[in-house]
Amino acid sequence: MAKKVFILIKTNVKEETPLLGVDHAMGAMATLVGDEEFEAVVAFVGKGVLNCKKGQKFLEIYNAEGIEDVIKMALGSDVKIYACKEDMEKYKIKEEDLIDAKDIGVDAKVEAKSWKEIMDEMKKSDYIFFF
Amino acid sequence: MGTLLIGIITRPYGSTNWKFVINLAKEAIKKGHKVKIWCSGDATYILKKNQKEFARKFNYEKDLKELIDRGVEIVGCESCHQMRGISEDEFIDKRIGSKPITWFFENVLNADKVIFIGE
Repeated sequence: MAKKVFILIKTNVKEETPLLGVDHAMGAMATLVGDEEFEAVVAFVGKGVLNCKKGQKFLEIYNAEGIEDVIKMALGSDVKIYACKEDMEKYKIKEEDLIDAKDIGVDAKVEAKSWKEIMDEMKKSDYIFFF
Repeated sequence: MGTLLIGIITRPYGSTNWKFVINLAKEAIKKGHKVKIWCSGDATYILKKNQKEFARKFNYEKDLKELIDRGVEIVGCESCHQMRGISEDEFIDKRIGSKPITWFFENVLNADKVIFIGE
């Protein structure tokens, strides 16, 4: 059975930390030792939910890969990604604003979850990393 | 005795997180445990040699050398240190490793305890 890694990201878009958090989630998914493997969950909370908004023009503005691209890649690698509902309300982000991976041919999206649901998921995890 | 794996992304000197990691590692070794430290993001700046020593200030080069001499395995995320222009030749010690993120997770599976220090 896969070990569950839970990564909680609270830092804002434009910082490196959310990228590192999602990179670690993808790193976990790519790790296989014998028959042991990981499943990874990333939850964005606080102002971290701003990372989950689609339509960021990071590549256009900075000519570099932004968190939106990395989140899409992670969704494509079967990482589950959640945004905290309560914090989405605070930052006026609707569910339809959340990033999906349709344009890379993957039927997956960032899911809105309540803080309680995030906590429940965290409790079921083998490892919890705060970024 | 067990293995303690510590992951850290915090920049050195910008906070006391690194001092906490170093003290924790020293105590764990004292109790006979094996310690491994994974540096990612800005934490890889700590690996660069020639950190000047000032009176009554932290000096992580000295601390890290001591940990390495006492058997602590220190590894930097290869893309993170390369992105910051730090080559392996510039590392404090030749025994410091440069590995991809999968190294960290392979060691997560083998460690008895894992601690991750974020921002």
